[in-house]
Amino acid sequence: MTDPILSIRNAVKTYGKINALDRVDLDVADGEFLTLLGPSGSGKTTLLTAIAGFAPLTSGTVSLRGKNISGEPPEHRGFGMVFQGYALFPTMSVRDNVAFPLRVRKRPKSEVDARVEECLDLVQMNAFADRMPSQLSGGQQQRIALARALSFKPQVLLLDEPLSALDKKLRADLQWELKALHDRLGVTFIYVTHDQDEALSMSDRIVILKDGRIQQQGDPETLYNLPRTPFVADFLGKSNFMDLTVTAREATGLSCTIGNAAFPVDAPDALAIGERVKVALRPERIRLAEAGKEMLSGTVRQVSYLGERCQVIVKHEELGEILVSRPTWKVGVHPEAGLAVSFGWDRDACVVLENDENEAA
Amino acid sequence: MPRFSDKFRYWALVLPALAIMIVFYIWPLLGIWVISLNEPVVGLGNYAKMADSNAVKTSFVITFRVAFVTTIGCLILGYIVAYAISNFAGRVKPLMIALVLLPFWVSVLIRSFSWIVLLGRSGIVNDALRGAGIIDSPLRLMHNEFGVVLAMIHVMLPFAVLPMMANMRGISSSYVDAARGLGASEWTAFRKVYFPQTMPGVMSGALLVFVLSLGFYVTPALLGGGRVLMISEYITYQIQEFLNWGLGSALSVTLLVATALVIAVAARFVNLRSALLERG
Amino acid sequence: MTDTTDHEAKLDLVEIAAYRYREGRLTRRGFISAMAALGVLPALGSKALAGANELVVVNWGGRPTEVLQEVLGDTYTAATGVKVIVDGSGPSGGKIRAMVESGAVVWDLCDSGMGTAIILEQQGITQPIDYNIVDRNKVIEGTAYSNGVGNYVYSYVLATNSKMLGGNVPKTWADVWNTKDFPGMRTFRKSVRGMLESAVMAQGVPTKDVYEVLGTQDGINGAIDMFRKLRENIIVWGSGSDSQNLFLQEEVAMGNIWHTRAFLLKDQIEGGTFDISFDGGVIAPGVWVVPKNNPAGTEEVMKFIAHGQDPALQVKWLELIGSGPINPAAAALVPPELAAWNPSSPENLATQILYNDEWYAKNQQAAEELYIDALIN
Repeated sequence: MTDPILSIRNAVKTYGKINALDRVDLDVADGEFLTLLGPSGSGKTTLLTAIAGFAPLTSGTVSLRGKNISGEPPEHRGFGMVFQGYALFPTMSVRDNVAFPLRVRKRPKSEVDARVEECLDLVQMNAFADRMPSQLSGGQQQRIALARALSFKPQVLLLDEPLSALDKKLRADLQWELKALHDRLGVTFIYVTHDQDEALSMSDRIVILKDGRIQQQGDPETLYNLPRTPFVADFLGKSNFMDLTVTAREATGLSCTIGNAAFPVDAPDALAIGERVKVALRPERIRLAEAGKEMLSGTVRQVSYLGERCQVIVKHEELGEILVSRPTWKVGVHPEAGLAVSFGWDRDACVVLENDENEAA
Repeated sequence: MPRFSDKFRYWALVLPALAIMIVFYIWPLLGIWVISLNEPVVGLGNYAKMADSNAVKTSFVITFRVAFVTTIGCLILGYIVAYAISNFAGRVKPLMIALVLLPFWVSVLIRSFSWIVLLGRSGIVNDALRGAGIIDSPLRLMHNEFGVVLAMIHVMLPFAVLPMMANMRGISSSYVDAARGLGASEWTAFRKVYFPQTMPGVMSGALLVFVLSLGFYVTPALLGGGRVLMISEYITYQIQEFLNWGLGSALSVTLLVATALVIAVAARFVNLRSALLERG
Repeated sequence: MTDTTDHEAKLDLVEIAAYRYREGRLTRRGFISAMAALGVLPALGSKALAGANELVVVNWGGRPTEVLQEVLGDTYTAATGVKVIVDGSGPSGGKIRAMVESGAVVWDLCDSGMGTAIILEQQGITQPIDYNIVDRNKVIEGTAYSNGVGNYVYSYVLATNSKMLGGNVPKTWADVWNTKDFPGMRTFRKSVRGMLESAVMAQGVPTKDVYEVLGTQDGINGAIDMFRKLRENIIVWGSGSDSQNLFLQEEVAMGNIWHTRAFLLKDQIEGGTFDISFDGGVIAPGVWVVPKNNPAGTEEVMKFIAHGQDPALQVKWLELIGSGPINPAAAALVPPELAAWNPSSPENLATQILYNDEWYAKNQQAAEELYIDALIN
């Protein structure tokens, strides 16, 4: 990474005995769309709050372009912010809300007016300039909050679950818009969410947090395909988990077994024969076929059609219940409960996992 | 069980309170209107006399002036208290709210007498100041408008604090955070973002204190030394001392109308429903 | 729906309550509330209560309430067996009128004043005094009215606390108006009664001519202007206890107050620095009035009033709280050390003027208006 715009070093935040952030290191590149993803209580909002300057860190530093800003009050940090619930000032019109950051910076009136127009234009809300926030729908308020956060041309925009209050369809639309806006403006986005779809669809890089620690970070594709821990594998998409034993080393990889079933797995060389490993298997990587055609046999337990995809739960004697997800047009069999089927996967479909950090500890 | 219509239920629930209001409030009130027009002779004599009297005019001026100053004092002190409790009290919040409510459990009479003990010529304040060598002869802290206003601010303070606190409770801290995150200093965030949102609470507190102060009797009577004659004391004086029910009633009616006017004017600026009913 | 209320049963309950009340097994308050609960109070009148073995006498609270109980009440009970309750809740004319008009009279005898007694009589609130029972020769001349009779006398006097004046004590009303030589706060009553007279005397008018001067509007205005000039130095007293407190708390150095309160203050203020002067005082009688339909009945009240005319009891009253005897025969029985505090002693009577009711009936209301205006405007 070239010089990061923002670096966090050894950030710790404690509330009483609870470590909300536990020795977090993070660099953010200029112009990046970075997402902090995690369940509630994972520390993602605490991290954002610490970056914004609302709650100082217990220890550790936040630096902006190499300058330590840990002690600066929020108003001196110069970040744009979009809040969960938007926090549009209810006593001000849309125009005054958007002008607010410019006015507190004592910009000349002509510049303020021009910039407000420009920003409202950016989010296509010019027609609503004289409305009060209470007269706007949730999606409209969201756009205004965005315009307000961008009006003073911040280098970094902090977004705290900005879409969580919206319904699913609107949320999907706004995801595209946000992404487009990011690409157009070149501003660094730090985006907090608990929604994996949002994270996957928009981010350049996702940082997954759990219990105040970074679990794994990387671009969406890598994270999705190569999760390192069961937590990441489960939190980002769905996974089937299997506890296997390494039985043989072959030219192309390992052969692993569970009970009487044996199959190949791509795995690091370090694994020794007889070692037990946990692997994750994505439901969409599993093929379904008529009985006897694939390497493993099972019985269909349950089927649910989700439109574009069809999910099938297959019961296997040793593996237990396996979730299979197939494109609706290419299921492989016509599944119904009780049907005997066979299933299998390519050897690179299984990902060998490390133990969860805290479980190891 | 017989089945009652909703309408019946509604009236069955409302009627007892309504009946009490009509019998013990509305009816005597109408009686006062009648007396003001009937005694000692039928006509508007009492009102004419009232309009002629310099003493009555002065008393009304004093009443409004004292109520106004009391309101301003209560708003300033009450706002600080309500703000501190709403934003900084943390775990001691229930205790602080209890302390605000505490004066309600002590009668106004006792509280006013306490001020006499404090503010008298040989009261605690004067003794302390003299003991410290700050003053030679005692200051006149009561038996004047200063003492009355001071004690009334004390008595009325909870009426200002409670609506403002209820209003502030409904204001999310995210607004001030947002303002600061967008570049406003703490003071600017308070002034431009927080304060405007507390205006409904301020207005209802102001209205409550002002209206209650207009009709206040005990404190001015005890601490005014007879020189701060507010209209309700004047009414008592007319009726108890001179048996002048006619003029006393006319004064009451005028005070009532004046108070109603204040509320009517306030209604132009304040949403009364939200100010008085939907606190917070 | 027909009215099925059992009126006869209700009347029976009233009789039972009245019976228990006569037997003394139900207090008057209990009785009144029982009657109110039955909804029969207004119709009841005095009939059910006649002969009830209890008298409620009302005065203005404080020590005088205890003394009245002791001197007149308990001695009357000892003599007749009739229980006397002295209530200090302050029988203002307004309260008496409200009580009589509402039909719920609980007071038998009220300690009122001349002015109020006259207004109440005109408004038909009080009943006539029965001078077959009450002796009109046992009161100072001019204090036996048709609907009220004198019970004791009191004076508006110049009271001073020399401790607060550096020993330089004002002797006359003119001194009281001289704030240069006699600095400090003064107290006057929240009413012109007994006050305007002092303002007139302060202008140099001889005692005997005071009401003559006040007989003209110019005279009244002149007296009022005196208060306007002095007002920055005035704290007003509303009740007797107010005046007492103002001296006790050293809020005021001098004032025009009732001698009965001064009588208490002389023992309460340390060092004997408190004194009064009857010179230029205004002497006024307290007046018994009997509300119409009083619960104990007319005869019982009249007997009680007559009982109180005994000169020995009147001197006792003076000894305890300084109330001046209304019965001229009492002066001879007053102990020598108290003679100086007796407003109706021949020496003190000579330097005072008698409170002029006629003047007050005619001018008080207008004068009060001007007085308030002078004090607050």
